Amino acid sequence: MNTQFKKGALELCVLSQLVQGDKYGYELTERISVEMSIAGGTLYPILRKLKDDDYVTTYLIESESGPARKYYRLTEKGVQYQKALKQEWEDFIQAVNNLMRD
Amino acid sequence: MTKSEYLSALKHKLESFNMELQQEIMEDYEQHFAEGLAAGKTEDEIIEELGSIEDMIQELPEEDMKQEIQAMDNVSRKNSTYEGEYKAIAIEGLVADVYLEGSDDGCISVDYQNDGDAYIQQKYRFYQYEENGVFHVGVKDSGERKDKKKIILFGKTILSYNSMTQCNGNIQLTVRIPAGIPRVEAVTLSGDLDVRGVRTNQLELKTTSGDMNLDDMESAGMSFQTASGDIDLTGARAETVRMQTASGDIEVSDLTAATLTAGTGSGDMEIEGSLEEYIIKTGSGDVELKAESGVRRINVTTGSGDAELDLTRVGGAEVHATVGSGDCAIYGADGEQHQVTCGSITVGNGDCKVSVRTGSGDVEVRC
Repeated sequence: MNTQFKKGALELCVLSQLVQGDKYGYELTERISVEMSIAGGTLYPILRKLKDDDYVTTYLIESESGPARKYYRLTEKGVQYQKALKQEWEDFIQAVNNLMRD
Repeated sequence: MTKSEYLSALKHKLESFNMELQQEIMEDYEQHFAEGLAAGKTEDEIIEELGSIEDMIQELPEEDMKQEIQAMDNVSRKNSTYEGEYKAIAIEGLVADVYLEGSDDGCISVDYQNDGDAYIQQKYRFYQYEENGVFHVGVKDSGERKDKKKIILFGKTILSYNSMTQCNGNIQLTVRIPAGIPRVEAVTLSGDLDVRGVRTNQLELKTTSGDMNLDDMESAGMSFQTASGDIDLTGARAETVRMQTASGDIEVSDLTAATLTAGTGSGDMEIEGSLEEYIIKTGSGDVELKAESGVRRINVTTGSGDAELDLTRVGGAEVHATVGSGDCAIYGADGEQHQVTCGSITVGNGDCKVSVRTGSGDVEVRC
């Protein structure tokens, strides 16, 4: 799969997954890897930037059988941002489709 | 590659970023490994899935890189606190007086005050930054560099510095240092160094003309160097202590350590401590040394300076004296006086080996 496409869309993928519910880092990398091959590590800078920009917050949940898990949750600002990005994406797809038809 | 090799490489590559990012990313990766292993994957599989460390580093936000030198804001008063684990703290005072104190809240706190006139305020700027785990803080000269000057002692350059404007007490830099930072170093040119209550492993202080006042310090290794400044140490516990001045005086009391190596050119020395070994040298400076029981070796060498050794608490010594044109008197525990110009005398149990050499200085040893 084209790396440029992946890079551009990864932030939207992460945000869209979080819209469906809070997730922890490993969970996100697993879910996204099902659909496309990515270097799991590259998700962490994206998550960090989202947190720096206040689109997500994090919280820890202790687990009996393993390490504590850091969950990511969309803020209100993040929800708005995901909506805006999703619209931009759909517009973009439409534009590319139009150009391919000729 | 194993998990610990991978994480180790990651930690190394993260060093150009600030402490907070380093900690967070390391935690993320630790958690990721833990989840993967709990799900039954092997370390190799997880590493394969995580991918290239370099690629990930490229994606980290630039704003989180190590803080830039904050030198160019015309700050005349600044007060800040820093958390985090540093492997060293490096303080540069220049003309500022530097106060170092121990802090008990686990944080480094910095207080900077520049009360000089407009010229001084503009010329000397405060800076702080961290790089590779080292916390740097100090004062920079924002003017042009002039020719470097050097102080040479016994054929070795011990300090080199830029010629500086006089600045008396206008600039003060106070740094509170928590215990546990392995290395503390501070350098000034004309500023004084006042250090108390600092706990570290390697302590290195240097000044050209500033004085050093040191109290209540603990560090395995200590090294103090001045050119014309005096060194006044009241209370320290260490393994190895080194002191060097050119014309400054040295005064030491309440020092507990294994070895003290101290030298001056023309400065005088007054030393009182519980050490195992003293190695003392002066040129024209006088030496007054009082040792406690437990001392095993004392070596004193002067040129024209006098040497006075008080070994009354030592319980006995084997004294070798070599005196040029000075007088030499050695008093035994019985008050009996022995005159020697060159030779050795054993008093008491002789466990402590004492060697005194002077050129034209006088020698007096009391056992």
